[in-house]
Amino acid sequence: MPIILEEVNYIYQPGSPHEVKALENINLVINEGEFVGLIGHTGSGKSTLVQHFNGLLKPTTGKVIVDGCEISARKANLKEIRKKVGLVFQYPEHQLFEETVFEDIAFGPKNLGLSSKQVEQRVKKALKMVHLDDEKYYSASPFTLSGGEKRRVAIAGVLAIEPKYLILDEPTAGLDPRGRDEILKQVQELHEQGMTVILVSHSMDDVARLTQRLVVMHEGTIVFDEETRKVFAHYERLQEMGLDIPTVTKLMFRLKHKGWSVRQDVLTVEEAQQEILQALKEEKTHA
Amino acid sequence: MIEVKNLKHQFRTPEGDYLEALKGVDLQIEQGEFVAIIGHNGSGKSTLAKHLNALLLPHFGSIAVKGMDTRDEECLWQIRQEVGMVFQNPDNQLIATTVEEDVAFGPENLGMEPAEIRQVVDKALASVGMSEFKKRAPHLLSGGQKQRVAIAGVLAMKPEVLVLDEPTAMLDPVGRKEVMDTVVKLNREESLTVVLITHFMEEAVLADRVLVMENGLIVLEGSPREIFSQVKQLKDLRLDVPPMMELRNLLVKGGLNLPRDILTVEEMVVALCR
Repeated sequence: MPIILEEVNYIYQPGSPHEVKALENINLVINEGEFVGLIGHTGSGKSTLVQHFNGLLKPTTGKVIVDGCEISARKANLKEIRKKVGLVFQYPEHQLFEETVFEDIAFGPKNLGLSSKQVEQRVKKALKMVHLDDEKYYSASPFTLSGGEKRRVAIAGVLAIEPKYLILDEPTAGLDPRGRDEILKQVQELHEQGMTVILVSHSMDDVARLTQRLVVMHEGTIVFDEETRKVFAHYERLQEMGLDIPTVTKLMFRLKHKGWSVRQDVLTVEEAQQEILQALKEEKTHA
Repeated sequence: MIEVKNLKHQFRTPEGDYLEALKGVDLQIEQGEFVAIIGHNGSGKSTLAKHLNALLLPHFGSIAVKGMDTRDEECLWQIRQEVGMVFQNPDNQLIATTVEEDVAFGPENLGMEPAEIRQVVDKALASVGMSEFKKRAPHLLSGGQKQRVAIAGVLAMKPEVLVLDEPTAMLDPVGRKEVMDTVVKLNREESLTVVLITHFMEEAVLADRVLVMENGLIVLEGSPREIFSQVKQLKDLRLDVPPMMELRNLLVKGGLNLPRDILTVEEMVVALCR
């Protein structure tokens, strides 16, 4: 069952001089099995929004329903919800705290009240999912690992809860290209195995490559919620919001402007290659 | 300006082993140059950068800043004043309660006269476009603004070299652009020598010269054009390739005749519309 947000408003410090309206009339449905990108400028409300998905924040007005359970209700069982919705914060490696990688990941499953055998299985499975299943990692201190490895351990800590929905808030911020590619590849794999994934990102190139659907936020509202490919057609509007479009998409806009007959909703270099070669071929046959 | 000769440096790991972070680096940086260093985490970039103002000292080889050896303790403070550093996380670099006090911290410690401090602080803030924020609290600024204040703090020391270690890694696209526009302006208009460590190839493209580090050594060196047209080498090192360069190669495979180095969208448009 989906995550549903109905007319959600969220106000920080309501009634005080510091009152800030962070979310305004949000209506959103995330279906099972989807891979959704969430983009927006800093301060657009992205992080506030994702914290509603597992009840870390409750709407000032409106409803949040996860798997048929209204978590915005007063007596909602948030423990159940947090088992279902795993949230990986920005710089999640700052939350590592145990002496060994194994213990750190075991923290979640232990709190679910699982037997030590089940906990061990969960930890091993989670480490396998992030490709750190070499046994040398089990007893290593998480603080001796590289930046990319630390982040994968932190993600494994969330995966060990076996959530149905996985929300990642800028999982590649500050990583080098190799670390970034590894994390994104694993997220892609998790999605292929059936997990619902919501990826919060600043990188247009990353969301263009990975997601099928893109939600764009600006000043607390959802401005676009469409197939990823279609969102980038709003090039000018995105620029006004301080957002960019993928480099190849930009090229197609420029070519179109110069009178080429090319599609503009192109997302990868391979698609761009085909479009350009095709356009040149057609030009030749007309000439 | 800076001369690095056969520089080696090793670290002790928690297990007690030695890790050779720099394995013999030779490098000359000219006055007014803008040099970008790219490479993976662990390739030795930051270790090299920290040698440029004597935060780390060579275990072998040498570094001279304007002829001063970084191992000469007598020169330490002058080297630190000539070579200013800006790090990744702006929150770790700002200390005072207002922007102008933060920028004044360095000159105060140099023992400058108050009137002169006023002058260098104002000038430094103007250089990074933050004058109107001088009375504000640093922690309430955006990431890009914080980094610009950190840069102003370095400029107030009147350095000749600015070393930036992934200054935009924690910023959003707008903040990233603010910082890079500032860095380029300082280099072009105020002829500050710039050494920029970055993971973002769009930033390295702005430099006069790009160095690629891998495993404690400089493995590629050249103009951005020379470096970023080596698609295969970059891919082997698992570094990013400019999308237009990748597309250029695909189009050539498809039978088109295109110039060897196309880095930007504009260059691609020009090449295709010939």
